[in-house]
Amino acid sequence: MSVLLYEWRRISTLRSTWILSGLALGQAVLILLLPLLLSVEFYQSTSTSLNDLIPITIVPIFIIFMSTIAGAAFGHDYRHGTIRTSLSLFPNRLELLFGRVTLVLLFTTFVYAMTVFALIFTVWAWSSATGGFDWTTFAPAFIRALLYMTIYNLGVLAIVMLTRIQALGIVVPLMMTLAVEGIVTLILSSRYPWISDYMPYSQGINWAIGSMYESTSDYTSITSVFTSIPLPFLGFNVTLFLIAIWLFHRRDAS
Amino acid sequence: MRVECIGLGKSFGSKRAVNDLSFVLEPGVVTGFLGPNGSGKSTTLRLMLDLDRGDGETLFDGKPLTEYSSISRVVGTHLDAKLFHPQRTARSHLRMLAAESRVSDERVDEIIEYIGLKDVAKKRAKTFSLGMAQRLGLAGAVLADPKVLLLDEPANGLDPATIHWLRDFLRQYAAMGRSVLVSSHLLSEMELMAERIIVISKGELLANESVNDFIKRNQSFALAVRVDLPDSLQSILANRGIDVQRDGDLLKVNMDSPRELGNLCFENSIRVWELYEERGSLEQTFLELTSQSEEYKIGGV
Repeated sequence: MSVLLYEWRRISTLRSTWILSGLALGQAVLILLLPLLLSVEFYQSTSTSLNDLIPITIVPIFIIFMSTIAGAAFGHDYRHGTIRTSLSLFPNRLELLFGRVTLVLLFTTFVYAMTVFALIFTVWAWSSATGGFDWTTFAPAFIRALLYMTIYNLGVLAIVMLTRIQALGIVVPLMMTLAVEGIVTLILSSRYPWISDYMPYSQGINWAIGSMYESTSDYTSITSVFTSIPLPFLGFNVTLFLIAIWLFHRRDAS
Repeated sequence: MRVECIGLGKSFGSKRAVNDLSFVLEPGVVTGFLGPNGSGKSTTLRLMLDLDRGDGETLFDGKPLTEYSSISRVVGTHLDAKLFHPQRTARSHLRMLAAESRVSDERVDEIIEYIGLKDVAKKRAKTFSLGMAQRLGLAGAVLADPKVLLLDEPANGLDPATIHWLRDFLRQYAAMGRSVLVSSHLLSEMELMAERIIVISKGELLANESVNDFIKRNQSFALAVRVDLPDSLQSILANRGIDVQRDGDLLKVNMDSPRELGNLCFENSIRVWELYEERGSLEQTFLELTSQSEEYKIGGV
């Protein structure tokens, strides 16, 4: 598939891709390493499982770097007008779209996997935690974070494709997660007590992180991870992405 | 490869930018694409490539572009001098484009050297001057040796030597049986470069013919002659019903053949001091043709 080779050369020849990937991995390792070096009890307890240490350092900040890479996929093309170059090489727009989305998601998955390996190595090298590493309980947490990142990034890609502004793709989901949904819930929850159940990004982050603190909690199998994806989070981002595909296919490349 | 544009059209809101535009690009010919600012040239090029969604269709040897598997071997495009990511190096940019049709790295390096970018191949494109950026765009367009070239203002920002090179290159490229469409505002350059021209204004087709025919069609007098007896020659020509205009001892004559006019002077014992074809320029003809339909007129000086 020449579109995948094109996309690989596009993403891999940008310095920002590697800087963001390095920062994502570096910050995760640092967040884990600091309490280890400071001998924080939980991190050095012999009863603490390695499973407990690794996932909690992954999602919150890591996703910002990965969403910046995802946002740049179309953001750079729109900012520099190179969408015309891309589409004159691939006039079948769906081919370009799916090639690009596939490669971005594969690349962010690769960075995520590398980061997790780096964290496992860090724990192995620096921690006295001997609670063991159990893949059967770690895998659901690993896949849950990966799914969260993938769905989140679909939303990022969609917002950039809809608005043609890279910054909005990065900022809007972040603001929704950190502030907007919380404020909306605060204002409306007395009248609509169920409102918080329908806040997509809050549901998403709770699902991804909340249970990660308890790696042996409800999500003990990979199947349970897939069946537990919060529908508001999945539905909102997938719907946004489908609208973006439709518009990308219809409108002018400028 | 024969390129056929059929009924291209595009509106931006209530403004009709391109209206029912049809023309054919024949292989082996450099075709100039002319029009005043805002006449719809760039929009037409984008419509041809399906970058803008509009009416009509463009067929490349009878098929739309989407039916070809390796697009950059069919059509090479250069739509804007700055269509690259500023952080990417020239070589990385070309390698990225090469991926679409699996063009080898050796070919990328060959093009870089051919187009004169070898010394800056590993520099970021943001450091490039307009001329260097144009070269990079041209390199991208010809990288996969396409059968059709669509170039939008490729000579802007180029130095005279490079413009000369571009002219020769495009003529040679067309001579190998390829179709070349070049839009440009450099009319004197276009006159030397193109064999045919397509002129549009306000999105409508004004002319589609050879450069010579275009100039002749809008020219009243074909020959100019300076003689010792201008009064006599003027009356001889007038008696034969030939249009003639006097400017001192210079006569402008509406005849096609210099030989015929020379013979006429000889037969009437009139000495000819100077005889030449009064060739109008493309620029002059273009300005006359588009003066009525120019959309964004500039004030007089």
